[in-house]
Amino acid sequence: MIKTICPGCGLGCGLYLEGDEERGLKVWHRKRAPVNVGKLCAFGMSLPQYYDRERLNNTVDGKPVTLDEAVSEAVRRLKGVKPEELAFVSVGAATCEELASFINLCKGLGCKNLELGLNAAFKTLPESSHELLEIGVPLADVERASKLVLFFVEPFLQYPLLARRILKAKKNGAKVFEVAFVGSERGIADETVLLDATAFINAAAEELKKLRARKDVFEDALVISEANPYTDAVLLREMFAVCAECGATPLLMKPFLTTSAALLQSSLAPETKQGLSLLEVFEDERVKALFLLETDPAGALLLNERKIRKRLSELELLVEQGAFRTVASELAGVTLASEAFFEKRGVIVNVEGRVLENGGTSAAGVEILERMVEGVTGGRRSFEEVRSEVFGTLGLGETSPKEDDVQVKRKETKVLAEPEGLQGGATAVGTARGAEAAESGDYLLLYRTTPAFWSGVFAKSFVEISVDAARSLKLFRDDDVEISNAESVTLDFKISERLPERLIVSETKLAGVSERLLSPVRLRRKE
Amino acid sequence: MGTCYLAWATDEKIRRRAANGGFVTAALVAALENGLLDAVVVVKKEDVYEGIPTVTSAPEVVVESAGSLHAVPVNLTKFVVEFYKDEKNKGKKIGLPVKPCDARGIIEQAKRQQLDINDIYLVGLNCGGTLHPLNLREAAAEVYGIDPDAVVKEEIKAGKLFLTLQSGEERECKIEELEKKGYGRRDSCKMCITKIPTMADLACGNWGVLKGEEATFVEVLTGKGEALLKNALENGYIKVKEASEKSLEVRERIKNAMVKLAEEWWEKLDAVKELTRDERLKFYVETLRLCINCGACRTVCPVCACDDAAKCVSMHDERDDYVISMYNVIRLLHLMDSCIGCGQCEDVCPVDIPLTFIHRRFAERMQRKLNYMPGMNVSEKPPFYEAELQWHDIL
Ligand SMILES: Cc1cc2nc3c(=O)[nH]c(=O)nc-3n(C[C@H](O)[C@H](O)[C@H](O)COP(=O)(O)OP(=O)(O)OC[C@H]3O[C@@H](n4cnc5c(N)ncnc54)[C@H](O)[C@@H]3O)c2cc1C
Ligand code: SF4
Repeated sequence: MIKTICPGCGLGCGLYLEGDEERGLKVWHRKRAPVNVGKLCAFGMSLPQYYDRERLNNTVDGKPVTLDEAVSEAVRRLKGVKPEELAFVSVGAATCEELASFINLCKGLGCKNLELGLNAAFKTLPESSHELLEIGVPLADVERASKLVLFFVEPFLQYPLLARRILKAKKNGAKVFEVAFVGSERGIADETVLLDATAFINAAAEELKKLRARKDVFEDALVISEANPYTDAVLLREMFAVCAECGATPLLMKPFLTTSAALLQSSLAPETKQGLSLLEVFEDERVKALFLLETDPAGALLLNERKIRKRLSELELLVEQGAFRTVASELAGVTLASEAFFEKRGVIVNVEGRVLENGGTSAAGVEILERMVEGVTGGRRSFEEVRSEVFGTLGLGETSPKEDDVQVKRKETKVLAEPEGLQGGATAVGTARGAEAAESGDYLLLYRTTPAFWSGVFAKSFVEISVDAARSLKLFRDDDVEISNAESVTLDFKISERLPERLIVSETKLAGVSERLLSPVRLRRKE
Repeated sequence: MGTCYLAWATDEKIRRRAANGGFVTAALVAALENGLLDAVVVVKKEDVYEGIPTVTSAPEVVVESAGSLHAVPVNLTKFVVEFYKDEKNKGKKIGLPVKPCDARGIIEQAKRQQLDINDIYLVGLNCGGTLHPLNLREAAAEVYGIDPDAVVKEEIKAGKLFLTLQSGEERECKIEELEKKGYGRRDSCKMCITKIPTMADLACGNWGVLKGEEATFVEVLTGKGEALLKNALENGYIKVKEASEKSLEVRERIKNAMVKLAEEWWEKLDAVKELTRDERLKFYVETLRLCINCGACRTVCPVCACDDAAKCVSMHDERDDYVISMYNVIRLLHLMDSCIGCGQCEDVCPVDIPLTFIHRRFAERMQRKLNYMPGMNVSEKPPFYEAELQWHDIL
């Protein structure tokens, strides 16, 4: 039985995995894990499925090669690319040690485009707030808070292991507010501050004024939200601005193991935080070569697979290192096979700042990267050396990771400076605006989670629509609906009383229909 | 009542590590070494707060695992079920230490044809209850005033929980005191009335071991139990003496006191007993609507033997808007005759639904009405068991 950590989200729940490829893996609950006391959400329970994917092999131009050959070919090709045309991306299940080596390689090549999942958010907020983005607060503080604001985050859906902490806070007498386009399902909030999605698309700043009128909601609260590559910049800025004004403490949840990544990036390669964001890497024609570490672009982006393939096939060089085959594998010039996350030796840092040891035994991922570093710079570190760099960076010094303690802490808990530029022009990654919105449709599609994450393990075959929409389209239970934009999909629906008339919500990425968290679509009854 | 002995391991190393006389470990080692068993399931100790169920044929692993881990609230049923799912293990004889809820789960799985009870030697352990490991850590810090990491040993004796520090120093606190402060045993254990595993092949414990004696009290309940004891005795792994009248009496007295305490706890923990019908419904709706469909409660449930086509899953449609989902309604119905109250479901529920209480609330009254207690006797069919198709009747 391997003691491991779920790589699904920033909480880092502990569990045991048992089994092998032949019999399949089985989850056993690890009740001693302090983050989750043995409990897991649906994704954690589905880890055997998540890990049951085709493994990546070592290849060069699609042909099987030895690892040595793949490494030297990757080095040769990477060295042949201009640093400014190269991007390094990892938004998946990598350990701190792997990320440290990855950063080392990126720097060795003189590349400044390093995206570990938060560049869009880093660029949105002033430097003084970066630490608040990187590291959260102890989850015990959530239980102890007297006022909580859920800011465009749905804990039951996105972070159930956080939801139980919020429920505990409520039991302890906390007042819970939520700010959202649609109230959450299970009535976790005592009060919902609703923003109008249509008004937000048309004039975000105007709509956000509603929040400024509700200082009572934010004053001295713990404000929980999420930062991911699709986080709407305008909302993120507004949240920090309101926090600054009201003395509130922000807690940013993150998908995957982004906390580890953000901390290491900030310390080891701070200059890259202004580099291209995930979406920019895929949209910016200047990027001609890409190194993906443990990242499935189809799982991380809301773009549809065809678009992703087209973009990847236009690259001059694509190098992929990971455990599993992805949409990138067949297009990659070089693929390097590493071990699955549960097999890895190494640490991760969770959203609270706990340094958690993953119980695998393999250091293959780090070794591959360090061999490439050697090919580039001439120096190569052992796993232990990389580990001690990581421990140093995390401020552990000589102490070893202790899962029971929060070892990495924020220096400041409050927002010091209000972000500028709220009024206009902010890159609205998460929301379709301007020309995109003008293409228009009669409804708005809102992704309730960041459906690109969790790698499609839970593709839902339905969307939620409002009672009014069902009425006006004369829908019966057995009908299907068609949602269209550039492309269209046909699915089941669920009628939800909570929804405003023109809002549709989906938990699953509807490829080709919407590439933003919020965008206009057309809704029809499927004939 | 079976024949009762005081028994102890002849190997001093086993006695030193063991919870009591080391009988359980010695009997399992003897059975492995003399071919009575092919494998043994033990709870391998990581530290006071963590133990990992392990299948082994290596006697040294069994010896290493001697001792009771009160803060490891596992149920071993599903480990055994998984073991037999592997074709190469079919027909293998295994033995394992079982708390009453482990034994009851295994017996329920046998009724549902998931395993053959004749292959399994159940070495029962009396059980006063388990603690949640993190709750114990907190108690160590808050009540005992010590660093939880400095605890190297925990022991329960005469209603007290003793914690031994690295320095050898021992601290104690009455379990009653701990429980008043919100620490102590899991709720399911506080309410559990099966204290002696009479459904197992042997029932072992320290109740009935008198002051000054270093032994395990062993009751032999079945032929398999007798075979285990005889094999260990004849091959020199253990020594025994018959239990005295006094021993028997003490054991019975403590057991009765524990059962009474459990009944009192049930009264105290019954969250709805004072509520009106409408208020009760509101309570069930408000707690069960938190369900996020992770399926963990079903996966760990030691009496559930359904596969992926289970009714609770297949009749549940996330598009439905029922205030209590079909998943939960069907599980409530399914468990009314079968719930053994082990608390595993609640332990793993990500949103802390008080599942043990809810299921017990329905099951307790139903089982009383049916005069049926699940997991006690392999030949007693669950009253709600679906009709089995007897192919030879049809053909
Ligand atoms: C949680 C728990 C509560 C108990 N409460 C009581 C009680 O109130 N009164 C009483 O008379 N006896 C109780 N016992 C039994 C008692 O502690 C001894 O296990 C028993 O007397 C046998 O002693 P031994 O020296 O022969 O066992 P040992 O030779 O020490 O062997 C004990 C075996 O138990 C296994 N084990 C350890 N922890 C667990 C666990 N959590 N679940 C399942 N198996 C485990 C070990 O792997 C080992 O194989 C309890 C045991 C446990 C595990
Ligand atoms: S809450 Fe996050 S870390 Fe925990 S099981 Fe779910 S996805 Fe994994």
